[in-house]
Amino acid sequence: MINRNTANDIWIIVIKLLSFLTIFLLALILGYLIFKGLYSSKQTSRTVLNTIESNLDFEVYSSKNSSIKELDWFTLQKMGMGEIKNLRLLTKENVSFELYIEESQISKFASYLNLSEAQLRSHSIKLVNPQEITNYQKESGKILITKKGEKIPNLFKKVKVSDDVLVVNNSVIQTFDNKRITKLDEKQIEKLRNNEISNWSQLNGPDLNALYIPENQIYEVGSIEGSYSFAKAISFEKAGNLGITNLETLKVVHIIKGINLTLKYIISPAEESGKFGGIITIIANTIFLVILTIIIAGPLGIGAAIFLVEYAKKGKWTQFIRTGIDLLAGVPSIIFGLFGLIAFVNFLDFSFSLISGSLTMSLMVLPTIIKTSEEALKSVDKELISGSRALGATKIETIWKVVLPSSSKGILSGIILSIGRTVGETAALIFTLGSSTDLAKNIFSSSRSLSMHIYLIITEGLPINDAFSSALLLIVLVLIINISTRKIMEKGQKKNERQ
Amino acid sequence: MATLRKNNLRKATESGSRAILLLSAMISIIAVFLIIVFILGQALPTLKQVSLKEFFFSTTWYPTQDPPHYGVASFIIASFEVTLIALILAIPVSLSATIYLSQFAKNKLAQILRTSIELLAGIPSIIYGLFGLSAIVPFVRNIFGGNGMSLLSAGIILAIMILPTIINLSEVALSNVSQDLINSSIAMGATKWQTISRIIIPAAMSGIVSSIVLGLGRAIGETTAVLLVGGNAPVFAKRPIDMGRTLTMNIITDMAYATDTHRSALFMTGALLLLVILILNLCVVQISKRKRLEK
Amino acid sequence: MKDNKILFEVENLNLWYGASHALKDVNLKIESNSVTAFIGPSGCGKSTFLRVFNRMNDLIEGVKIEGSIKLNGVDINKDLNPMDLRKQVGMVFQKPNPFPMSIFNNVAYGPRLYKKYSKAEMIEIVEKALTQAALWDEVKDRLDRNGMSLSGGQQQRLCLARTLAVNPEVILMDEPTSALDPISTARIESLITTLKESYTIIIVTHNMQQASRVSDTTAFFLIDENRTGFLVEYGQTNEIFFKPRDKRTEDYISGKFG
Repeated sequence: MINRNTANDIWIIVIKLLSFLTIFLLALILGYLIFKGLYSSKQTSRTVLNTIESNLDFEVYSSKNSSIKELDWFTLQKMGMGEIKNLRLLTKENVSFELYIEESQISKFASYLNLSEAQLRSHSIKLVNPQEITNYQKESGKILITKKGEKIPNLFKKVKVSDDVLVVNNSVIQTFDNKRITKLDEKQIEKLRNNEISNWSQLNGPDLNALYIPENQIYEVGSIEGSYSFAKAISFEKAGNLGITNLETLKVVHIIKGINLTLKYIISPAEESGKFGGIITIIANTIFLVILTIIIAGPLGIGAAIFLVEYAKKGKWTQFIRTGIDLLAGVPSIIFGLFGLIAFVNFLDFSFSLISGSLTMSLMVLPTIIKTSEEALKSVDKELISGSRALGATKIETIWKVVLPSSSKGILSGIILSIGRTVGETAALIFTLGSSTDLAKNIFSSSRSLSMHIYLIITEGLPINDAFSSALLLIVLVLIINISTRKIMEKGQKKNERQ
Repeated sequence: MATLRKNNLRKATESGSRAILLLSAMISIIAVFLIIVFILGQALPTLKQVSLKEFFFSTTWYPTQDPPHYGVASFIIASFEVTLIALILAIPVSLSATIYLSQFAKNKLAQILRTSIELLAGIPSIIYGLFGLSAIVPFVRNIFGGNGMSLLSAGIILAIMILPTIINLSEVALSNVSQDLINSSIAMGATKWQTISRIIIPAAMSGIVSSIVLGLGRAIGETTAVLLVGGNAPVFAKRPIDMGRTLTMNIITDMAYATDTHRSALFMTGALLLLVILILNLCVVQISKRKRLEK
Repeated sequence: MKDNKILFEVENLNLWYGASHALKDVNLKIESNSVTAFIGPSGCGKSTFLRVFNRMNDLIEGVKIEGSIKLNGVDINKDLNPMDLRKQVGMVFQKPNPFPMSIFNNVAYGPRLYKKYSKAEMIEIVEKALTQAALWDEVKDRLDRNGMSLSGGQQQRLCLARTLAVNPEVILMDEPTSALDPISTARIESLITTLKESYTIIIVTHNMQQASRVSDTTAFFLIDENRTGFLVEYGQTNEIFFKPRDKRTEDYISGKFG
């Protein structure tokens, strides 16, 4: 039998723990998103392994302000063959690409890439002296191939080249039991290198013995089931060229780390529906949405609140109106979206546009504005009102000149809350605002808001790091809005107390 | 003469303004009415092709098949399951936080708790969805197996989302319990927990129930967050760790490309949702009206 | 004084609400099975002093107590758990406030805090408490009716029954009849006289007649120029009212009594 004092202590501890869970959850969510928003870790898979050091007898450099820090053999080959005209696919920058090779390195580079000198000469820009390119420091899309140990201007940084691949017999990547392995992570590659794997099933692969073949016998991999070899990419390509079939590569998981949300990202315009560029156009559209919504919902909401406080009589009608407001407040956002779709996009023929979105949002935030404005209006000193009326002012004049100014703080906080709601809304806007990432030209333009952008990034399969950087910005915005509302309400309260 | 005209103008402005203000106030109720009308309007054509029985009770949703099937029973159950999970997780936490806030109010920690709740309330649903997708889904996958995207993940995220809703209204209810009652209980030697559990919570019960109903409404109506973590498989989810689709997910997923009957079926889903939520909200209004009458 | 044991011993009690000194150097002894009245003008701290006996002041932020109060020799602030104290020292408040539950459950509330009783045991306890509070006959047929459906006077007796049900040694009463009509007041007063055979009662009242009617001993408080309450005189009720030793007491009594 537990003594009641102990029971009391236990319950109090449980209550405290669960309460603090709330704080913990907030910290977890904010911390996680801030971290992900600032620091990106992109996981992709690629054919070349993560080499530690490559033994090239030439050096590779890239422009200092480009984000290229390493290259793999296949990309370098494409550069040599002139297949890369723009760096967009490698980085997020929309810059054209130029390959410079020092004259003395051309033959070395060509044989490294398994290309002919003629091919290289026709597609790349030849250099005698690397110092010559000092003139072009503004543009960023350059790769330099130079002699080892050469002194290079400070405008360039060294690039790591990875050229190892994991060659396997194609029996290893075949489908078995409705699955197949196409890539391995770092740990699994380590195990392979250390000869810890005897059967591919240990790596979630088919039940085949894993047989190691040294690089110089790479052709054997084509004929022995389950065999593998760690080889240079060029060996793999040459084997293929010689007609050795059944050779495949196992990709490796590759993690790229970097800073996610940058100032540059925020102020660059979005290009190609958000695939490239930044988000300033989206931010601008969001601002337009907010302004338009407040212009529509503000007067309506404040007007309704004034009516309820100053004119409404206690009775069935007023109750009716209030119930209407409560019901409107409870309607889920997706229903607003559907309604907006039928009423504004289709029926009123506004199509997917800022105005459709604002009208929909106005309905959503109306109850918030009405409720907070009502509170603010009710707390106005009655004596101020009677004073004004005693001087002969009409009701509406009193409201306009006395009541509204005194309750402005409370009303403002309601407006700010609505801004927060608008900025964070997604479901209602999906059906009404549109999806264009361009700057809206007028209220009938299709556009997207920041929240929608995050949603579309995820559902359209774009890199999730973009979602995180936009999310971080959105969170910061929402936090600022939240804190401003609190500050305004606190100031309002202090003012009342002083009176 | 000029004064008379000015006074007439002022009077006209007065009555004109009153009319405008009345209109503003009516907008809400007009909007609710229009919403119901428009949604039902788009939904009813479904009944030409689909019987009510099939719509509500069949678990086969296959609008692109020939012949198409429009049964939303699996979505109804999924919405229900997800909400249930959310409530089971959220109610103990919210009640604890509410009790803490009202009974240990002077604490510095209580201030932090209050701020946390406000901030949690302000986080947009898409952000909850993103967090759910990148953190909760792997978590569920590691602990419970399966894909990770599941009704369970959706329930967890919803639980966090409705915490502020339940806490805010419950807090009002608890703080309205008369201090005299509390003092009487303490004067008889009751421990803090005994006073809370035997006097305060029962006295605040109707407010607490209202808050839970409101939370329920919020959970049922949530779309973006559950969409990203629920898996969105349009089939009947046998276990909470299976992927499922709620009523809201159904609407937002198919709406982009649905036509004709498919589209009206989606509106029908919306109408169902709207109806459930309106009823829930009316219940809350009724509960608070009854409470006011009692006083 | 009768040869009764000393129940409460108050020594040099001082109380502060934050920086404000509310009670100064109070010394007195309360005998068991007696009725003690605290009288004095509003704001002199008599209710505050009353609440010291069951540590209800602990609920207020920033309260500080110096000095000692001993119940049966045990210091109630230092050596006793407040919840155990309140089991022994019950309180009836000025405004009747029955719990929003049945009459039966109102009375059963106290005992149930401490242990589980069988239905039969509980019925016995409830009947005994309601009888002692002179309410049993009026409610015995409607024990499951809500406690708030009773009249004001009945509600107050219900609160009394509630307190009696846990069998305390002491009953504190904070202006128990000031919200009641004269008839209910009279009933409560006669109850007090009956109850003192089994309990010790301390009552705060602003009604002088009431004090002189029901109490054996009276303590008279005043407030000084610093707004601090202090004990002016304490003794047998007869003496306080008809042969006060302190002029201030005499002034107060004659001013109110005349």
